This record gives sequence, C-alpha cells and structure tokens, in this order.
Amino acid sequence: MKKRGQLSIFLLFALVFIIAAGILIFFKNENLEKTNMVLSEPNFEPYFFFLENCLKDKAKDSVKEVMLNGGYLKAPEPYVQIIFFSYPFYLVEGKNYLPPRETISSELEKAYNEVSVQCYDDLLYAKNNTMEIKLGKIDSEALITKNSVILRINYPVTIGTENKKESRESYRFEVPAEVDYVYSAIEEFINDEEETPDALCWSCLSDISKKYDLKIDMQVFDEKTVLFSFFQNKTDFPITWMFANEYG
Amino acid sequence: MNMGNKRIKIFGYWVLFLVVSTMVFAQNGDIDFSSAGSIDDAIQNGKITLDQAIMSEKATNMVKSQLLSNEYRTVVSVDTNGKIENINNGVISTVLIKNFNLNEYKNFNGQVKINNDGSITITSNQAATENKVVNLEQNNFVLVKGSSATIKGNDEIGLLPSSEIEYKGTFIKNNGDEKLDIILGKPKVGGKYISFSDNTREINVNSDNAEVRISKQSQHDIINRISGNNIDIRNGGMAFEFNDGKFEQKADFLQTDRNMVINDIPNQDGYFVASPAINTKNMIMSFAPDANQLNKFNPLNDNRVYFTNVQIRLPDDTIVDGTMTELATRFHSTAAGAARDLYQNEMEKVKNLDMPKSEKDSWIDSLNFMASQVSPQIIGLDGGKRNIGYSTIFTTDSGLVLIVPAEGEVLSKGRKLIPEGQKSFAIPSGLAKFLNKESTEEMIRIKAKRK
Repeated sequence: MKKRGQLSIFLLFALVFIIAAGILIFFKNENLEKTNMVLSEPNFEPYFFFLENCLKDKAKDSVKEVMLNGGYLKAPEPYVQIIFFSYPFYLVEGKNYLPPRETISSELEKAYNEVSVQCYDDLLYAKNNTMEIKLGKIDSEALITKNSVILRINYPVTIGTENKKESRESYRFEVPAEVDYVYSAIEEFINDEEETPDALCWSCLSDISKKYDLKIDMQVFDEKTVLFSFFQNKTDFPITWMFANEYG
Repeated sequence: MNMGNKRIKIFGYWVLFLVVSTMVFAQNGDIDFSSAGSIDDAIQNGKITLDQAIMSEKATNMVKSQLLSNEYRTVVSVDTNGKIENINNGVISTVLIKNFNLNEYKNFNGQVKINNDGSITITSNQAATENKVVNLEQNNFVLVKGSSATIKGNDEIGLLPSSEIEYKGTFIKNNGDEKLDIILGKPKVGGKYISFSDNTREINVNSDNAEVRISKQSQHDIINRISGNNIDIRNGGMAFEFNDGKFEQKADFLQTDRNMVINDIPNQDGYFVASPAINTKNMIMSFAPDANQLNKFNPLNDNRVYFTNVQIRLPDDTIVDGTMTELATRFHSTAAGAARDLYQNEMEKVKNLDMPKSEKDSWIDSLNFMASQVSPQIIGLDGGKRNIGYSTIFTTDSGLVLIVPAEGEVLSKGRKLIPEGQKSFAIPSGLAKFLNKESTEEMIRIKAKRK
C-alpha cells in the first residue's frame, strides 16, 4: 500500500513535468513563428531614414548653390560667364537688377526641387529587387527668416512590395544660413553703387565689410565688369554669395 | 726847380685827366649800371664780369634780369626785392637756395625767377619739347612741360596750380587753385602737403585737389591719405579718387603699372592693388573686417592674397631674417612648390568630374596655363639685408608676393621675424585666388556631388 502511494506521487510529478515541458515547448515555438513572421515582412524605415537625410543634405546644397549663383538656380540675363560659371549682374548702366527676397525664395524652391531628384535616384540604386519605389510630384516651399532658411518639401515617395506598401511625403528642414543678413549687406552696397554707376566705391565695400562682419572679395573681370564675393563664415553654415556689377 | 715844377705840373694834368676821364667814362655810360646794354658791353670788353655786375649794388634787379636772360638765352628774372646772395660762374645762391646752377637752363624753353623770399620759381613752357630735370643739392625732380614749381629748399618745392612734377618715377599734379607743397625725401611736415619718404617707399597726401600717378619706375608705392578730398590716384590704366568721404575706382578698369598700397588713414582702411598672373587686366582686393585675421594668414587655405591695414603696420625697423637671396630661395622651395601642388590637386579634381569634355578640357587648359606661370623670381636682389614691413611688395613674374610675418614670432627686441623655413610667408597673387577660392571649390564640390 505504501509502495503504491509512492508510485502515484512519482507519476504525478512526472505528469506535471511533462505538462510543463509541453507548455514551454508550445510557447517557445509560438515565439519562433512570430519572429520568423516579422523577419519575412519588409522594413522600409531605413530607406525613409536614408531619404530624409539625403533631402536634408540637398536642402543645404540648394542654399549654397543659389547663393553662389547670386540668388538664382541659373543666372538670368543680364549675366557674365566666367569659364563655365554664370553670375548675374546686379548693376548695369546704373540700373539695379538685385533680385527681391521673394525671387530668391522662389529660386531656392526651384533649386531644391531640382537637386532633390538625386535623392530618388540614390534610393532606386539602394533598393532590392523585390521593392518598388515611386516618386510623385515634387513641390517645395522656401521661407527666408532672419537667421535661417526653412525649406518644406512635398516629396511623395511610396515604397512597397507585393504584401506591403508605405508612403511618406512631407519634410521640413531649417538651414542655418544667414541669407537675409548677407542680402541686407548686398542691398546696401548696390544702393550705394547706384548713385555713382561709373565708379566702384572701395570704401563702401570696406565699410559694409566692417558693419556686417563679412569678408568681401572683388575681382575685375574686364574693363567694366567686377565680380563680387560676400563671405559669411562666422556661423556653422558659411555661405558665399557671388554676383557681378558693370560700371562705366 | 723848373724841371721839378714841370714834372709836378705834368703829374697834376695826368691826375686831372684821369679824374675827367673817369667822369666822362661814367657820364658817357661806358658802364652804365642802369643799362643792361652798357654793362653787357663792358662784360664783352672784359671790363667787368657778369658775376661782378650781378653782385653790384648799382645794377637794378631789372637790369640783372636782362643780363642773366641774355647770358643764358632764357627768361631769367629777379623779383623787385629778390636778392642773389652770391653768384659764381652761373651758380647762384639765395637765402633759401644754396646752389642753383643757371648753366643748366641755357636755352631753356621757360622762365627762371628769383623771388623776393629767396625761392626760385621755374616755369616750363607748354611748347617745350621735353620735361626739365631740376637738379637740387640732394634731390632731383622733373618738371613736366607747361608746369611751374617753386624751389624753397633742397627738399621742398611749391607746385603751382595745373602743374606737375615727377619724383623718382611718381608724378604729382596740383589740380587746385593754390600752391601745393611737395616735400622730397622727408616724411614729417606740417600744413597742406604731399611728402615722399624714400626709406619707407611711402607718399603722404595731406592736401585737397592733388593727383598722384604711379608708373613702372616708381620708387614709392605706398600711398597714405592723411587728409584731403578730390585726391586722384592713377596707376597704369587704373584711376582712383578720394571724394566726399568715399574712395572709388573709376571705370574703365584697366591694367596697373605696378602693385601698390593705398592707406586711408582717417578711415583706417588699407587697400592693395595688384595685377595677378593670369589676366593682367584683373585687379584683386579683399576686405577683411578683422585686422587680426592677418595673423592667421595661410596661403594654402586662405584665398586672401594681400592685406594691409594701417593699424597693424609694423615699425619701419622690422627685420626679415635673411638676405633677399635667401628669401628668394625659400620662396622657390616653399610657396612656388605649394602653388604647383595646388594646381595638380585641382587638376585631379577636375579630371574626376562628370562634365562635358569640352568644359573639362577648357578647365584643364586653364590650369595648365596657370601652372606654367609659376616661375616667380624676386627682383631687385642686392644680396644684403633689408628692412621690410607688412607693406613690402615684391613683384614676381606671376604677380605679387606679399611677405607676412608668422603669428607670434616676436623677439625680445620687439621685432618680428620671418623664420627660416616658414611655409606661409609668401604667395603669388592670382594663384590662391583661382585655386583656393572658397566659392570655386564649393561649386566644384556641389557639381561633383550632384553626379
């Protein structure tokens, strides 16, 4: 009788152990299945992360390029061609061609629209064969603030596979470029120069350089044309603004 | 006795004859000091010399003027109260002028006038065939034809309105209505003036309505505006003007004859004018808001190729540690080598750019041309030590070399030295401008990134 009781307790322990092991194996398999399920589903986040960083870089490049081109994506008439760079005239025969701030905003938008296409190209290069990436209509908006340029871009990208699709489109970047500040310096210089279109005022440049704490270079291109560079390099985002004047 | 009385009588007649003869001689004007013709005759007959006649108290200044004019075949005049202190074979002196050689004015197409105060005014006629060299005791200058200058001493002259002189290759013109004082080789003066400082190569302008014209032969190339308006500065085809508080360059923008520095003392501005290597019509200048930036100047990554500021100019006794020959050698081994490296680096960049072949070829051609121009030589070497400061300029085949002392190199004597082997002491203009220009590099970077 005592032996039978001992056997029952032993069997009971064995049963509990078997049930516990079964439960453990069951749950373990379930987790494994879940993990396998997640791994097999595509994750687009790295691609969107790459895209966002690329767009951020292009926002900066757009600002730099527009400044180098005198506030334009491509210098309009009248302009001077130096090797393969074109620089807009701000002063010709005493006439002021300095673009208003609104025009520069518009040019920044154009530039951003154009250079940001590169991000889509890069994204296509990086994708794998099972993915499809589509780009909708790009549209950007530039706002020149006191100490920065805010670029908003509608960049509708859809990344998908057979089973999953994901879209994102709106981005906003603030480039700490003191475009407005340099513009004010150039505006003051051009206003000075308008008074005496047959002479280039060196002391005006010197005064403006001191007043705005800018480095200004000038280079005579031919007998009437002078190329100016206004450097703002006191902030983390230096910019160089170039343009030309014609005198005489 | 009779014989003795007769002798006395003869002697008496002879004395009487002499007295009468002298009286007759004077009365008849054999040497009539009121008549230039009479004196001239006496001079011709050897009775008196020109120098004696000029020194004679009897001759009037008008007569002296006529005599001198006849002798030197030019218009020489002595003012009403003018006085020639001494004359010796045509070399005259007054209270102001020690030695003025009238022999140099024979057949001079103009006038020489001894003024009341002892100064001497020389006027060259517009019809004169050439400019007149005026030799002074210590300094010489050239009087441009059609001009008038009053010599007040051996180093001080007064330039009359609309007149022009040349001093050691630099021309000064008086565009005002009043006389303009010119001080030769003496830096410190008062009043309205233009002064030359030979040692420091400086011209100080402290006057309105003046024109300073630098030529290739100029031995002065640092122009300091102390004060004044309507000041024109010309250099080759370039024309600048200080007016109404502004310093302006007039169009057309043409080539300079030589590099120069213009310091605007009242506004504490300094300008450097240079002709770079690539296009001699180009003129480069920079404005830097912080004068201390000069101390951080590094030709390898700074596109400034010149800078000057009156606030930070070194004393005149600043010494460069080395002879000119050593400097030239160091330049060849450092700056020129660095410049060539820059060209090579730039060419590599361009070669890797994705751009139309024609554009790339054009760019590479330009770089090759610029690289071929890197053969700088410091001219005017004399092998000896020289005192130089920030303002010192050396012209090279490829443009400008600016000597810039290194930061913190201050010796106990308070002199700054350019140490041996200092890599950033010199740079030819144009090279850095074209190669290191921040904007160009940035543009290339952006264009490269876009591809």
